[in-house]
Amino acid sequence: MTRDDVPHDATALTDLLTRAATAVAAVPGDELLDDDVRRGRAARRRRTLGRLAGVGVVAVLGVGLSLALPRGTTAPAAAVPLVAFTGEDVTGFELEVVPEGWRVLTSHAGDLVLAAHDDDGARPGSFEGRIAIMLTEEQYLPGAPDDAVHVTAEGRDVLVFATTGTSPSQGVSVAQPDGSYLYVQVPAEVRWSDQQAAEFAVTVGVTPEAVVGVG
Amino acid sequence: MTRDDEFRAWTQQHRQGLVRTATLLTAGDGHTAEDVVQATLTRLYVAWPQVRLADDRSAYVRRALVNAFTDEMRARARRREDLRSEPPDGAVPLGAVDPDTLLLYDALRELPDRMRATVVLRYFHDLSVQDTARTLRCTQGTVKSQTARALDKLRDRLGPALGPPVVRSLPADAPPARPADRTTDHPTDGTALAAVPAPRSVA
Repeated sequence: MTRDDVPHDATALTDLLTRAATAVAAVPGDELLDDDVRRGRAARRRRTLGRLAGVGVVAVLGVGLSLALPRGTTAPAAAVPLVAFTGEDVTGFELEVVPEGWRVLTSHAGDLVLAAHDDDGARPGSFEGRIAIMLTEEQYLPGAPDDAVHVTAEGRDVLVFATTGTSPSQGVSVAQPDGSYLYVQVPAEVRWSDQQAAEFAVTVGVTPEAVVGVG
Repeated sequence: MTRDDEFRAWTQQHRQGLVRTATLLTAGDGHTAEDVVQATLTRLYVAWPQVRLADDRSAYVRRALVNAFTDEMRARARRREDLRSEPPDGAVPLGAVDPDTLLLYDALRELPDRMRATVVLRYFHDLSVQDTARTLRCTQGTVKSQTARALDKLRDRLGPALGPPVVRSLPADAPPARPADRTTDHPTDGTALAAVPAPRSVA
């Protein structure tokens, strides 16, 4: 159908709608944009914490679990629960939650390191006893042993395995849409199950600024 | 650039377009339109990685806006059932608006929500029947029948505002009009929702 075939009232309706829309002056100011961002961040945090509460990984459920133990029972060392991350934005990655009492130690476009509150920050290049987060290619992922497990977290397939190294830790890899892998190394100190480690890993976002490491 | 930076920059560029579309969807109810836009933007922020990777970001955003509109109207309907004494929405807090626009809003307000959305998508966003059906998650047949019924109602209500001659036999699957004197079109890239002409004076 050519333009000449378009019925007149359709043309008139389009014009009426366009005129009405054009009369709406709604150029957003800084305050309105700030509010949009704030609402988005709050909703994202609620969603993450709500999801993690469902799998028992956030702080409030950790408390509930310990209270539910029979009197006289010695509780096993509890997993460090996750709490909302309230620090400054980090480079290359997005953090929604962190282990309770943990903080960002170093942040670069290629890697992000979290440390416990009593970590004095010595040997900043070491991942021992710390959570290391990086983006890498499949060929550079630490070799996953045969007993690596596939865990589903937020509908995503996550591979979790014990790493070989000087200190015990879990290696967690999450495939990214561009073919790279988010790799998270979790130290034994946090005492997370494979499921908990995977649930944490899928909360970590990757931004376009993240640099893919090569080893 | 962080998610906040990206989102803020995108919102700065597209928010006005969202508000304009939402204002048409709500038949000129500026307050509800703002609520719909806020809900849409919140959902987009939460889903930003998917928005970032979407093959057709414009279509993704349109669906988010229509979904937020549908949810908002359902919620308002429920609230009205709970609070019968609440005054109905529908005021037009738009300042000085030309008479044709007021007439248009009155006519749009008489259409059911989904029918109004069909009209806005077909005749404001210039979407095809197929794309409108995708956005509304319904069949193309539904879009055609909703369009035909909407046009009949609008013709009856608007009369001369749609301009002579009145064509009773307008096919529902006719393409949206693309008049030569429109100052812009609605592109198919991520700018579509913002792509209406610069505001004219409403004074």
